Amino acid sequence: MNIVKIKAKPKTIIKLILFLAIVISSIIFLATDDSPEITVDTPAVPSVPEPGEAPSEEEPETEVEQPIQAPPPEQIGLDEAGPENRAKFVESRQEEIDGHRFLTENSKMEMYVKEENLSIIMRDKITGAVMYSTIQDPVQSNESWTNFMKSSIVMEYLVGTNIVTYRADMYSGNPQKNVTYHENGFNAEIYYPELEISFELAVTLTEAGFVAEIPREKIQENNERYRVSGFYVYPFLGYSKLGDREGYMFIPDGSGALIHLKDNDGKYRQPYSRMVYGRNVGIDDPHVLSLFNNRNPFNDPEDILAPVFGMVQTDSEIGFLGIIEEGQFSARIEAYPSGAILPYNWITSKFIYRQVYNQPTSQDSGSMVVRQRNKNNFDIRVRYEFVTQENANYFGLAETYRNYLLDNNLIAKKEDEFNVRIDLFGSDLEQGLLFKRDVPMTTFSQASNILNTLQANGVENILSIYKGWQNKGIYGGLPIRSFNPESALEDDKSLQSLLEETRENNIDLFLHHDALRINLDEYRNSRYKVMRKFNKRRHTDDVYGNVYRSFHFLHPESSVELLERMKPNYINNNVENILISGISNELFSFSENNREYDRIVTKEYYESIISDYDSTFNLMLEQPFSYLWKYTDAIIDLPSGSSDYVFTDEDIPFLALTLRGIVPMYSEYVNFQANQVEFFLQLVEQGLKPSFLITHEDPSALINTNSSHIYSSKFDLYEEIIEDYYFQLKEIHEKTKGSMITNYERSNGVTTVTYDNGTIIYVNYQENDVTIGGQTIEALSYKVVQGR
Amino acid sequence: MLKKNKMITFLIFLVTFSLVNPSHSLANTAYKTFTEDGYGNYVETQTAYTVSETIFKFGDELFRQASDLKIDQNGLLYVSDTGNGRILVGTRDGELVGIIGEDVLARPNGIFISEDEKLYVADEVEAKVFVFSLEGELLSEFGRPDSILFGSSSTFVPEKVAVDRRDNIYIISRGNSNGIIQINANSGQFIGYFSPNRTVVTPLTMFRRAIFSEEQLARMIDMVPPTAHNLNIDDRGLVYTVTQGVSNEAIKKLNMAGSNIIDMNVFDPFPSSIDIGPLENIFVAGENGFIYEYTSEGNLLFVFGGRDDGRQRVGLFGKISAIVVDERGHLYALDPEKNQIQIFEPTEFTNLVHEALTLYQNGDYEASKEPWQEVIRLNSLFDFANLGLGEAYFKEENYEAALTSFRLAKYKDGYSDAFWELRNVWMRENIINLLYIALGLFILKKIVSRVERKYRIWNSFKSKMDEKYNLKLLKDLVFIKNMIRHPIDSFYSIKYENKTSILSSTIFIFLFFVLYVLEKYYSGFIFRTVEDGEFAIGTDFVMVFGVFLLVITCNYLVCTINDGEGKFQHIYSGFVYSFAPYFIIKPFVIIFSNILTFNEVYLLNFTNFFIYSWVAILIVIMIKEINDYTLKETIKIILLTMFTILIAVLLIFIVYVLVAQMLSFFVSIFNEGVYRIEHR
Repeated sequence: MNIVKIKAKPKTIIKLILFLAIVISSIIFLATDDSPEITVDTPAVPSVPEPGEAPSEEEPETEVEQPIQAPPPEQIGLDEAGPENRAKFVESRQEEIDGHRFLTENSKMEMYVKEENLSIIMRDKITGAVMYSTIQDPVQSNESWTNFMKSSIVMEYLVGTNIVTYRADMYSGNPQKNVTYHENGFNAEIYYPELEISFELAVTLTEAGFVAEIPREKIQENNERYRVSGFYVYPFLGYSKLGDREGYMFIPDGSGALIHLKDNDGKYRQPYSRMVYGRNVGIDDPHVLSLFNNRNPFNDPEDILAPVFGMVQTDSEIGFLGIIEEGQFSARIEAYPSGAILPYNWITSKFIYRQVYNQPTSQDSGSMVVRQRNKNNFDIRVRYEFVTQENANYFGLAETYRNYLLDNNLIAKKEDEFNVRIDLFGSDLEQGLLFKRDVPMTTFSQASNILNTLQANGVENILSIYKGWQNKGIYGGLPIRSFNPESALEDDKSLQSLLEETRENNIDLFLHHDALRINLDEYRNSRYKVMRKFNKRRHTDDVYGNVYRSFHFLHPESSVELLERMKPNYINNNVENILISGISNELFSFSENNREYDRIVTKEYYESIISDYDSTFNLMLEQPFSYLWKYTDAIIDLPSGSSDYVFTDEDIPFLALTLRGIVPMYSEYVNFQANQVEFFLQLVEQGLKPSFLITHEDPSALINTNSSHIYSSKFDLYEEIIEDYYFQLKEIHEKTKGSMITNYERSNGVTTVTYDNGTIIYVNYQENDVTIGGQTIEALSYKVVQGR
Repeated sequence: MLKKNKMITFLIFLVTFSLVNPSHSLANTAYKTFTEDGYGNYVETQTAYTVSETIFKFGDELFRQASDLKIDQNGLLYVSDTGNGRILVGTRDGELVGIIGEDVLARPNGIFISEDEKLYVADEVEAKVFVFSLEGELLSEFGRPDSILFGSSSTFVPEKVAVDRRDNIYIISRGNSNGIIQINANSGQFIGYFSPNRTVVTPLTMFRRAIFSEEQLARMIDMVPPTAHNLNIDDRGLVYTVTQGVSNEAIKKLNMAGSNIIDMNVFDPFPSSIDIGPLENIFVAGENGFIYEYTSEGNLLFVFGGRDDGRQRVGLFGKISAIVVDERGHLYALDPEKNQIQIFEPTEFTNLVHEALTLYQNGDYEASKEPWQEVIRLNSLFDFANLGLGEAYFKEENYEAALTSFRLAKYKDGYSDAFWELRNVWMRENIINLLYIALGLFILKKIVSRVERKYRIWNSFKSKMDEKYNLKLLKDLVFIKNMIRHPIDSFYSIKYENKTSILSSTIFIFLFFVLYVLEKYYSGFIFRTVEDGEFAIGTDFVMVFGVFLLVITCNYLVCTINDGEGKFQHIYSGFVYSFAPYFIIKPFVIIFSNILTFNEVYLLNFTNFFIYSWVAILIVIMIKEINDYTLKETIKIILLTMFTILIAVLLIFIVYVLVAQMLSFFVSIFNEGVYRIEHR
């Protein structure tokens, strides 16, 4: 019966269904829209806050991701502000200082050692200044920190699958020590019976300091459960309490920076702690970013380009430069201004053998922390070179490092010729209606025009880097796989003829080659391998551009393969000058087929191909790490400042002081400096050569490309400026050509730089004239006084 | 020194007399600086301000949860040290000058220094506004007004305070949504509420108001307008307020009548403080640590800063509770979490922009030209400079240069004016030629039609072609012209005479798509709604075809169950052919949009209105004729179709969500499995 009825009226049923749908959807519509707003009861009378109560805080919800912020570490013993009163000077040679027995000496230094904790004391024989390496009477704190402060070597280890690191030092973990002394120092075998881990420390007195070593092969791990994760080596060498001493710590942040030894009133909660040679993208998660209108509102801090750090105590005129000779690829440099955890100023290197990393387990959320499987492959060797008397300042540290580099052939003296660097920007892509469109900015004939115009105006010596010359432009054409110049740039001149012309005119034109990045939007099915992190995900290099949001890194093997493939291509097309970027200042760990590779593997790939290129071409590297300095003809984009950390008291041009007169150094682009007058003075002071990024077209054409950050580059507007910079800086260069800096001083906003040929340069950063050493220097200006 | 740079140096010298601090001014800043382009998007620019100094304490007095900061005429800083219940006075070098109100104040929040040098302090706990002399002597205090006008249930919890030169005190009271409380400082009399923030009335609220009971309405909190968070008063007595968590008018510049006279493209979602600089520039600090500088008209010049998040770098904040500008243009930003004041000083670039802006605001466009050009040399993408330069050129009657500059600045009004001038000149020169061409065309047409009538060349050619080939498709396409003159007949033809086909209709949809894309991306600059360089052709394609398909299918489905006579092909063709006016008139609209200005905008608007209404009428007729409905039935069908579309969209959405969930589930399972196997 029913069925018949239904069949009789299909229309009614459809109407019914429609009606139901209407009702349901309207309910959904209303329910989803307003329910959250009606739930609140009567408008509450706002409560009057009690005194001392924190003001009600509204947490803005605008950020894309809420950054995970580690709670600030506890501060220990800050109220114990009493001075330490350890002797700064020890008059003559002693049998024992503070429980340290005299061990050995050379013409400059004496070394004392305390077997209990392998602590050493270094004494300068001329002045009697001493430097301690452990704290004798630490401030009141928990046992773990007390033991830490009294130890010369601290080992960190991981337990089972636990991700927390534990510490074993000279007291914690009850080590058994077997120390053997010899005439230059001592060897110590250290064994932790509970952990079944042993290692060996060798300390050797050198001419101007000492070397501490922990060889990898001597690190024995006999229990599956306990694994070494890292070492601190002499963390408290040259420490001082609060504002007891005068002096500073030197951190290699960008151009170099100083943290003064002072009482900070506990305002800094965190230390300076950075990986040598930049972050390791293969393991470390990038800093969680809160985007600002789809852009990254922050600049990355500067990387550590050279594995050095230092401490100078100016009141007793003693200081040291720590050089990490081995293990720098897995090392961090940590500097604790007083009040960051402990009331001491201390700086140290920390070596990492194993790390933990995040392994995501689902597509969008959820991850677990996993331990690195194999130990990183390196020995630890830190050289401490001491500076005393009038050399006990940061210039002394720079000089020490310069001599070290030259003596060990880590850098070769290059010809010091003055050039102005005119980088030319070829092309980039923007979105088009159907396809991406080329945006040619400087064609090859326009490039030739620009360079010729400059030479005709007397700007004779030019070094130029052509960026974005390849097909599809600077970002669309990554990676460079063949010698295929962008056709939109070839108007009536080809790249080859431009190269030839510049050779004839004595201009060094370098082709820019980014050997690190791959653009998977353009080369989705390329056969080149993409680097994967330890968690097997591809690393994305987020740029938040208008066309491409991110790039990926090539597997080091693919980087090498591509460069090898390009080599005959370059040779056949008569390219003699190459600038390699990307791989010159990036190092990472990676995984492949379930195996983990550390940064040293990456470094070996890169170094082999770069040295190969160096022997074939005139090679330049963009902001290279120190292990590549010997291969580059010049250092491009040398940072002229630090990253401006809150605890930094002063920026110093450490790299420039070290390298001036050895390798030509080119500054970052003048275009993008907001304070151009001051930047110019900095070039004068540091002996950097000026750099410009130049296009023929107006850069407003780039606004819809990934290069929209270039906002000022048009040649017509820069012609005069380039000439001004060129003639002024060239004049100074003529007087200091090939010379190294022998002294560097700052007082009252005036910097005095003395060269080894006797020339003195005064730079006045102030807005009033200053008289110094009988010379009057105009406001915001400089003066060069020729040597005798 | 350098020639150009010398000029800059000179300008800096004019604007500031500051000492340069070499250790911090040139480091790589932690934050990027952005400016606003003509579309209201952010573009990167030179660093505008760098930190010159950080103040942690005055003498030995540290701050705790400090919530406000003001600067007096002598350059002394007054910090409302909320956590310690006092006001600290210090110099910008960090020396302590005095402590005010230590025993009087319980929890001071907002402070203000009036023109006659009195310090007003809003205290939440005491529920009073205290007035001190700058030496720290308590002069008077104001409690909750007892006037009836104040409202018996209104609260008085003073958070922020400001005073104008006529001695009116403006007080923001927490939880009092009536507006800013205005009290006369001399008589203590309550004057009234000033400029409340209004709630936005949405259709949803209207609907609710219609159906909800009184009780339910009373419980809806979003009926209560958000109160202003902070306020300030400039030299001319204009009141500025900031309000958090509103989507428009977060920053207001109020005239005497209490109405807003400023409109900003971009602003922080959580502004916490506002101050007015020497050039009447408006500085706003957001709680997230961003600092914004606007011109007095609300154009964004710079935004920079950000939250520290453990970066530990200078120039970032935990939070900003107050921002102050001194007479030299230096900014002081108070951070209540890090308990410090960071002092920012303008860079050479910013001084240059300010210099140009001063001239520009004084109406001295010609003098501002040179500094603007210098700004553009340093940053070609600085659209505000392009705008200024455009105005300068316009004043010089150099319309071509003005046009280029306005185009770069994406400033449509200026572009329109400059274009109008140029077009005028062109018209004057070419009007005769245009007339000749029009005349020529007219004569040509006459001749052709006469020849055709006589010899019938075209007609015979047409019939010959017709015999030889089967040109049905062509005829189907040409048939569209009948829609204009005889729509009802045409629908009859579609239905019974097979005058159209699926193919011809599909071709017309493609044509529609092409016209749509052309209109969207190739209209004249003045009338274009999309930004330069923005292309989303894939989305456009999906949208055009999706909408057509959805509407036609839904309509067909509804018609079939409502005794409609139309077959699918008829409804499909009928729909598409109803767009005949669009196909015929739209191309002209697109072309004309390239040569018209805002003065003639009504022409375009009218034509568009004409096209769309015609199409709508044709569609209604189509549904009626093809299905043979009465008018009443037609209306019913249209409503039902709309409903069906809604349901269909809902359904598609639900299916999409389910599928996405399922996929993510499988991926997770797979990853987990791989991980387990690898880490055996």
